[in-house]
Amino acid sequence: MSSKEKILKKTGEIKTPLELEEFKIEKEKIKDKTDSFLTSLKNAAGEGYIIKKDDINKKLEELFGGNLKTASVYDYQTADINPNKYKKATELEDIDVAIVHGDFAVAENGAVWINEKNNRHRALYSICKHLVIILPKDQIVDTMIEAYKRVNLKELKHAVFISGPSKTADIEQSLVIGAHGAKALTVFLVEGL
Amino acid sequence: MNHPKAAKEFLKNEDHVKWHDEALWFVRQKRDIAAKSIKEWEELREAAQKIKSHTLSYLSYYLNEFEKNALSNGIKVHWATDAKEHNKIVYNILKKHQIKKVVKSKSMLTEECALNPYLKKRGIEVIDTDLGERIVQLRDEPPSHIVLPAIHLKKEQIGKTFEEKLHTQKGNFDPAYLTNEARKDLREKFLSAKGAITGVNFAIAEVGGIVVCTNEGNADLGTSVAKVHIASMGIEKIIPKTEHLGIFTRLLARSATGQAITTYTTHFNAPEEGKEMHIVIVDNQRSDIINDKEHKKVLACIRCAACINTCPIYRRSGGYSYSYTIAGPVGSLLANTRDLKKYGDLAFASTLCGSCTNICPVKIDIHHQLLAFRKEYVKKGYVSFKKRLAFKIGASVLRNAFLYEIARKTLSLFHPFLKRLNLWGEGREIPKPAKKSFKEIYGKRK
Repeated sequence: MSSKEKILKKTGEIKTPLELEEFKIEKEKIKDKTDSFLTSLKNAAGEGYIIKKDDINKKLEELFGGNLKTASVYDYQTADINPNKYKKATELEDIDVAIVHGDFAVAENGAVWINEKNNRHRALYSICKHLVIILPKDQIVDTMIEAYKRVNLKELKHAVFISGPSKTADIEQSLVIGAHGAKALTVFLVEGL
Repeated sequence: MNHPKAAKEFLKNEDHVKWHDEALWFVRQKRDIAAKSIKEWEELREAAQKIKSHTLSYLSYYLNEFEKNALSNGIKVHWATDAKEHNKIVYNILKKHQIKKVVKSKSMLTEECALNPYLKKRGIEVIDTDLGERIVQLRDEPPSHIVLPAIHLKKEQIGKTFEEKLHTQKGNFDPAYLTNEARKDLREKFLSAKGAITGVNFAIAEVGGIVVCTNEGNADLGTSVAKVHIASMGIEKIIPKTEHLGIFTRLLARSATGQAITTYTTHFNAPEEGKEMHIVIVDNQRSDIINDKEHKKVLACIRCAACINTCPIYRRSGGYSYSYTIAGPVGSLLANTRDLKKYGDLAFASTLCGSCTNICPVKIDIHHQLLAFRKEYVKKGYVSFKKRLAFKIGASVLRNAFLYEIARKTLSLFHPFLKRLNLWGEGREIPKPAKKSFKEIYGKRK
């Protein structure tokens, strides 16, 4: 008998489950999703800006112009490199700012859903020092319940909710921003995107 | 060493105990604020409990479904009946790829299986990358808490360890400085390791993919740089559908640290191009209790550690006073389901105050089950001779009016010796017996 058979033998016969109820959980409607998201993001140590579509490049230049090495798989004027052109993830180590696209955000916790089919390296999100996520301002859901109803996980290979920069409180419960992933995180909520 | 003895060691340093107690209570309070901010919190707990209970009833179906979907996503799936098989599978994967160094993010299962020493013995370096786990690894200690592995240490102790192992500045105990030094040291290891091991928070049957939650981003960085990702999961990590994640992700971080969500909630559904992803599904005695109505509920645990943070015994006795891998109330339960004879003392490491049960996001009736284990422990005759004798004498005296009367009248004579005899009375004041009994006073009234 294989190990699989041994385990399944103990966990019971394989029978089609009875339908599990759909949970309709009543909740308070969030009045201003944008405001709520920005507050949650701040609590998660991230920062957010509401900007117009035409101002993206200007804002990027204002925040990250100068000597910083920026990267994006999209066509932004400020981006110095396109990470897709590199073979190994380790070659992305010196990126200061990675500019990526999010699909939607969650008001209750400041998380943004990132699932970029055209991004070659998953490492991009955690290897950079500063992560910038650009997403349409009108794409904000109330809670994780709505969030997971919206995604079609079966179609995706990799996706992540990111809420603020990487952090830890493993030394005496003191919050320190910048553990292994990005040390800072900025979200652009873009109007007209 | 049994729990009372080990706790006594911890209690020697009163200032440290007070600090430890307060540090955990601080986390518990953050959890309360987070939970209270959600009006529908109780409904979420209810739903989470129902989902887990349903899944455990059809576990074979969902495990099979999960494997089928994972395979079609291009993930390699392995099954391990016990810790030994799990370790062997992991080792063979690494050996096949000639990997000598792996970065590992938090996984209590690999801790349970003692994977690190197993791999080390075979010439593979395992680097724990969660900061707390890294700290205890550098000190050659096990984690003392499942979410906060180094909660038993003060920053000065951690600083000293870093001075010695990472050559940090002498006397600099600033948490931000120490964290950044660890980041620099581990960055190098992330970039050079060819293998990455992670745990699993949730495995979604209909998707055939897993979810890993971290705050530090160590699972994300580790898996995305390495060419081989191995994820170890217990059979109880399965949930049926994507939409169920909406419920569990709302509960998990709030219960654990009081955050609205962990920084990273990462979905691994397929290997990255040109890389390999393996999932090892481990039983290791979990299925033993699947048909046990009373105790199977413990398999619903999502390892948030809320019961640990709230427990008055844990806070004042520390993680190392528990002889099992997972400390605190739910750890004691898990240990008891495995080997009651060996871990039975942990069923008594509780005041039965019920705080653990009240706080549990998946509504495991922890303290009721601990009480049930105490009964079983006594019934099976595992209690020490001294304790058994004391209870036997006590019972026969209390049952018999004549003996009771004699005992009561002579109690003041025994009183000075009671302290030495009484196991419970250690560290407590034994009340002085009253001069007259209630019966006598009442009799005089007439």
